Amino acid sequence: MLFREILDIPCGIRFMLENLNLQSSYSRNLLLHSPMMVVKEDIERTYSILSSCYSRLYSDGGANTSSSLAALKHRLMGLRDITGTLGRLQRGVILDDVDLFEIKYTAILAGYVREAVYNMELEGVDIPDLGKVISVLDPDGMLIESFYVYDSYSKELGRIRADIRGLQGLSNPTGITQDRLLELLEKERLLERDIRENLSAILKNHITEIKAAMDAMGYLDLLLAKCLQIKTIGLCIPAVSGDSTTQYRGMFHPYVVHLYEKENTTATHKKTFQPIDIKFGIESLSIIGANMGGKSVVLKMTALNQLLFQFGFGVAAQNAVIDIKEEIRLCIGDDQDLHSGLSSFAGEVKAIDDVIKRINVGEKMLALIDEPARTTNPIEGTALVTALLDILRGKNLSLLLTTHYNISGDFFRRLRVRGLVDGKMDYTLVETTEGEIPQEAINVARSLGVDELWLTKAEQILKT
Amino acid sequence: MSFITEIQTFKSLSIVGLEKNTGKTVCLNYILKRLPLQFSVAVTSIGIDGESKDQVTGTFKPEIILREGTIFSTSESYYMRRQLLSELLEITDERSSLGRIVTAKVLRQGKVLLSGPSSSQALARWIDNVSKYGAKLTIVDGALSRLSSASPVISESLILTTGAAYSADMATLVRRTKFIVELVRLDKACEKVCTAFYEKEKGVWGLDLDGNIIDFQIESSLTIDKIKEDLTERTVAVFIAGALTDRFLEFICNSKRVGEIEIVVGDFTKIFVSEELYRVFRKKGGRLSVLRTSKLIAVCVNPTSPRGIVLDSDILCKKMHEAIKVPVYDIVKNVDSV
Repeated sequence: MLFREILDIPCGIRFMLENLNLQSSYSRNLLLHSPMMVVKEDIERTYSILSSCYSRLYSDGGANTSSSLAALKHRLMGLRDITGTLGRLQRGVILDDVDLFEIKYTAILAGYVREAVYNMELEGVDIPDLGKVISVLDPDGMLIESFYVYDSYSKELGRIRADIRGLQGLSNPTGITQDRLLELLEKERLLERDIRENLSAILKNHITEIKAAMDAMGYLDLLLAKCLQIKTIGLCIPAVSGDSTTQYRGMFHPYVVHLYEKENTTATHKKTFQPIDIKFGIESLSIIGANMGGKSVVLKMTALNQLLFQFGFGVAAQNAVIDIKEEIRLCIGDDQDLHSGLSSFAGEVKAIDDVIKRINVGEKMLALIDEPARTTNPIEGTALVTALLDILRGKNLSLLLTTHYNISGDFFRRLRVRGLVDGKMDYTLVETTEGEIPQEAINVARSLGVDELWLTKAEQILKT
Repeated sequence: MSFITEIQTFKSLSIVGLEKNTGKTVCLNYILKRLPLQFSVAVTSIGIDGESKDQVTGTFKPEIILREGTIFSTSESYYMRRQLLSELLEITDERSSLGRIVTAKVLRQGKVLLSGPSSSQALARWIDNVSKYGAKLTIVDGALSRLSSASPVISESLILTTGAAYSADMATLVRRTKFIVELVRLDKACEKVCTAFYEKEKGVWGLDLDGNIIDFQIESSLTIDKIKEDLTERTVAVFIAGALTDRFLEFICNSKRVGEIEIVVGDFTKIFVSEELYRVFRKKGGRLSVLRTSKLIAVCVNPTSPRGIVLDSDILCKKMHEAIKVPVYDIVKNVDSV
């Protein structure tokens, strides 16, 4: 699965991408086309580099590196996608001045970035040395990014150009000198073409290094952006689980926190996000609790963090140990299915059916299902959810589902949102063995200030 | 002060033609040739320009000749067709309809087709960016019949080109040019008014006698119909951040206090009103001013139109000068006498 394919999962991953302060669109493209990591060593290596880079950049508050970091980021803004040029080079096309300029520019940029990485002692970033490419395109050793077919490429070219200048400088050119000038200009053009052909042939041998340098600079840009995101959002570097359990302490949702912060700038009643602790293994887990108890947010942030983990980002928790999954499914039952013409129930059961099929193929999965069968009658709904938990028993799956139905049985774990305590919502998840689901809907509705007659009437009905 | 000397006192110059074939490119070549050799210049054009043949009428158009040391920006594909030796300095992120914009320095003089950034904002960014190459003056070869590239937001000074192609009747040509010149030379609003409105990027605003700023809660002068109240009642000045249209000016003309308030716009490129209505407005005592002014250096006339009409150059220059009181030149004919 590529990063661009997970962007529509409604867990807040798009927010994380938009929040990433990348300098170059090339780096963004690299990220979008990068695959999800599923190999332990890959993830560990990624976090080892991220962790070392983060502590190098920010361990002392960033005082030592801030100016060189700013300069490096500014340079990375110049990283361009020149794969089109490299493609032409590969096909044997004679490059023009603009193409040659782009290659020279990229090579000089790589040289600068390589030196900066060395000076800043950033580990795990290896920018190939493009010295040979630079020397081809910078025959006078000026180390400036500009380019033209230099006189020094050929003695004859220098002579012709001097002659042209001489003729152009004449105050009263005759017909003969005009003809001579045209002849020289044509010679110059042909000679320049030969030189470009020669340069293209030499550069063709360096395509791999140039592409590798571009990618390395893109990954560096990504690495620096991930470090900054860790710092600004307060993310953690997770550990890879060794025993199939996943455990978050102080898990939060960056987008919800962001929304609260935005609201708090004007609101008198300030909102704070209550971080959540959760632990699960290869098992089924049902989360029950009051409306507005944050159950869906728990599913979303679990999905988000799993994705962040497998794409090597900082994770939204105080600390985290995470198990690697091959497949991550979030069934939140939003109204996206309207577009495919399915009813909300049909869309939902088909999504869950897909989870069952994938599980039966044997993929190691994290499935997060929000209130399955909630749009149907409670009798059939309860039966469907109970059966779902039952048939997924013993599979290679971590299943977290939320529900308002009373599901009996002891073949799955139950977590309950603590709920209203002294009129205030406590979002803590507590272990429970009771199947009975809490009845707090009326109290929650009352806390929202809805019509009292309605609620009193409902309470009377419940009593009878 | 000759106009070439005066040009050198500004950091930026736009050349805009009131119509095709009014001699805009001849004017640009003339200036580029006569600026002192050591005076460094950067030049670009808004949109397509420097074509050897006019794309609409098929008539001959002079190419732009750049000399050694000049910085220029053009589209990638025109750069490939250049007839000069140049060093490529930069590929910018700006795009024109003909590809990316590249910036280069002329190493040996020759001809080039210019096609630079195509929006005013992109041009302003270009001027800002190109200054790093040490150009003392940046020249924008403006679009035909689009004054926007001559906005003071982009360049400090401008040269207008007009001629028989704009109107074949000399009296009409002079009158229409005079109207444009009048708008270009509108007075700058007083300091108090400028300070009040300088930061307003959209909407219609008022300033009352006590110096309070009033938001009229309308998006632009196009939505004036939504206003039931008389904008002039409480105000001494009304500022339109966007375009000043006929409809808005008519609305003001119909108010009782038209003679007592000042209408303010960002600069002359924001004015889209007919001459007739503007005259009525002025006759009623209405005043129009701008937040930013631009120095009009000269008006260049081309008495020849592509349809074959040739006006008398001397009489045209004389009449035009009398009408607008700005130096007027026929560059095509009087190249050496300017």
